[in-house]
Amino acid sequence: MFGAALVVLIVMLLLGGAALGAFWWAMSDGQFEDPEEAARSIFTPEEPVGVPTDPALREREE
Amino acid sequence: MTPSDPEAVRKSRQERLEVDRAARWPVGMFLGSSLFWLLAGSVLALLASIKLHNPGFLAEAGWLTFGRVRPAHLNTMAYGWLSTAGIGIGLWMLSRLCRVPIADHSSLTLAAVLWNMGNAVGTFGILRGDSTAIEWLEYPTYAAPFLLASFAFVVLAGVNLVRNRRPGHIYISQWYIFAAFFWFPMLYFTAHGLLVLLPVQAPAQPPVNWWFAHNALGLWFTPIGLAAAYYLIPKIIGRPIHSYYLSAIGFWSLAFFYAWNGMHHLIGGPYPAFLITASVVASVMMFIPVVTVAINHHFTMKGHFKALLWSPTLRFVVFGAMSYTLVSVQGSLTALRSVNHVTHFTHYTVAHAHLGVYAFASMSFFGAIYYIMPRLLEREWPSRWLIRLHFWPSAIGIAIYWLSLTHGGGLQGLELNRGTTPFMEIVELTLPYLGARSVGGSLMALGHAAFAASFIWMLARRGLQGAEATLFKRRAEEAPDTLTARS
Repeated sequence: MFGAALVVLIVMLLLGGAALGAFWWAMSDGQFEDPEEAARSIFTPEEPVGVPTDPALREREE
Repeated sequence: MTPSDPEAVRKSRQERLEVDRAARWPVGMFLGSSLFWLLAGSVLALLASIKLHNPGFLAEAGWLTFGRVRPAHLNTMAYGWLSTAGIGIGLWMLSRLCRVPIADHSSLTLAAVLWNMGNAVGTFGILRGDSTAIEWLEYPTYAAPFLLASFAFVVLAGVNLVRNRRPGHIYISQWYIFAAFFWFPMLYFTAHGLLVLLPVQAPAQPPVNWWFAHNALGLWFTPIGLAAAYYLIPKIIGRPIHSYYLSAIGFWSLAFFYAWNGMHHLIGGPYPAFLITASVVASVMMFIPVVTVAINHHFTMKGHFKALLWSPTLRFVVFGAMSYTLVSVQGSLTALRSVNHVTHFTHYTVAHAHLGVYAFASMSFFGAIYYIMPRLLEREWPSRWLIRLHFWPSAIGIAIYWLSLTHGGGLQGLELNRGTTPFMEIVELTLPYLGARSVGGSLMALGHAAFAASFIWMLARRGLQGAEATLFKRRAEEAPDTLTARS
């Protein structure tokens, strides 16, 4: 029984600790400093903001 | 449109093609095999559904009895369809967002083989009568090593992508996927360990069981589905998400509070009140991530809703995102003791589960697969009619399913609470709703058959590389001007 309780405790600390650690890292890395830029990070020169990525929609654009 | 220099366009196109080509085999394997389990799971689902209003149907053989096909359905759908597709979708999106081609081809091939073996062995085990009888973990013990070993390779591939990522912001979808790749194996290993390998004392088992089952939804399927919505909606309409800030709040509130949710399955059970109350509070707190997601997707889509007439991916993903709001609000309310008092142990719960796993997760995954496959194969979907034949039966099917069982389950709960109605009368009361469920389920299965036909045809057809995208309408048909509205 003690073994199982220990497993639960360790997993609990690992899960919670990992989330806290990741959050702390994200804060110190500046991940929350420029949300505008983060939202744009999925766009590239090939697929920029304003261009739908379904080609037929893109045709209408021009 | 931002004026861009042709060299930068060429380079970013090259980079995208490299990423998609490297993903072709590993991601394609997971997505392709997930379809097999989707079909197998649909057949098992129909069997189980029909047996509830026609108990004699195919009841002669032991392996086809309700007690076996029902858990076999749940597990093939959860681990065979959703998890397999989720791994494929997650790996592809992670590779795209990290802007790193997937390098671990041999280990991911092995992972796909092991994962499918685990599912085959597990499903066979359940039908053979070896179920563990623990809901959501019915696969017998001998299936677990396959699944865990396979997932270890998946995690490794994910870690490699994230470690080698190009510098810059980590997008919200990356957070969701990478977190899910850690949460799932941890949940599965812990639950399997505490319930099957080294079982805790009997009274402590249901809390572990529901901690796992609920987290499998919220910390495994949900993050992948939301990651898909957060990536695909902006990409398809060409507009950044409305508020990145809100999306971050949504992710972190899910990460910190979701794990408390499971105990609301035990309301009324012989457990300390604080355990249940904490879970009810956490369930209501889920309004925070849900509202952030709903606001975000609504305002991102605003002005672009007509694109739903055109883009198959968008239609499936937006259907999924809207269902996410609905299922989550319903879930928070169902976790209240007063509501649960009526709905617990009725068909209402089954309807709620399908709203989450099907209307939200499965529909989002379908949408993601419609986006991913043409980019992996550099070839288009063969027929818009087949995509329509997938979307409408699935959408109408789940609507019938959810409405009938929610209503029937509510009546069932009220009658059970009354205490004076004979039990058999209540059973008969639910029959028309169970019949309607079979109708809805058949429609969903029809949609899946169309999806599989589409997928196989696409793989087989070689002549149409680089053709125009398969949309719901031909380009010659009138395109609404709103499609081109600028953000």
